[in-house]
Amino acid sequence: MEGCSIENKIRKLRFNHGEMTQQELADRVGVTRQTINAIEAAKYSPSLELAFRIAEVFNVSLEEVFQYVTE
Amino acid sequence: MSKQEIYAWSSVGFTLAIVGFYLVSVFGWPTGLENYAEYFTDLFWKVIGITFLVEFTLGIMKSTKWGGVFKDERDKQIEAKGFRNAYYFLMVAIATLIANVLISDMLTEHRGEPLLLSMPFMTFHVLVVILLSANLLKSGTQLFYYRKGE
Repeated sequence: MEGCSIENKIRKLRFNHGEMTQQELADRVGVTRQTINAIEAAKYSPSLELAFRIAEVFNVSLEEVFQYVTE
Repeated sequence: MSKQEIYAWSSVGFTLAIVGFYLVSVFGWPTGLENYAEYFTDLFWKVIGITFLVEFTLGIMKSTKWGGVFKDERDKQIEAKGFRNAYYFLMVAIATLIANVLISDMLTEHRGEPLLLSMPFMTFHVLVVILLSANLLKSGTQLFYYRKGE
């Protein structure tokens, strides 16, 4: 998405959680692997519900996964 | 490649084959392509066969939940963009067709004979092509966003 200013630390969190694969994370939050890949690359902003589900998998707060960057 | 993307490719292939088959069956082979008629007919049946197989396989996977999630929120968002573009295209195409009917009526009065595009059978063919093109645009839009990775 153009002008997307939401950054995320999903890749790092996956690595810290036993090198979890994108597919494993996708299965746990109920989306496709391609969607996780798009979110990681900051090309797609997930819904609030999906963002909370991702944070829940890593057992961290939403702010620790997603950061809204103002210019 | 996600299942939805495979589905979109299948839809594009199927619609293109149907458009081609329809135009050839209505207007005949274009000059210079008659020699390749057998090749294109063979290609048409292959595309129909492959798309049928793809849709059948995806249909089974969808109903049995094999292979994980079939359609998630991103797929639905991309599909919505496809429907939006197809709707815009349909609106413009239908409005143009309505304007064409009105203009053709006026021109027919001056010329004394009806224009080809104002004839009911021609309007029917144009409507069929518009319908298929809208479907093609919907699938094409989906593929655009899937390829873009958005």
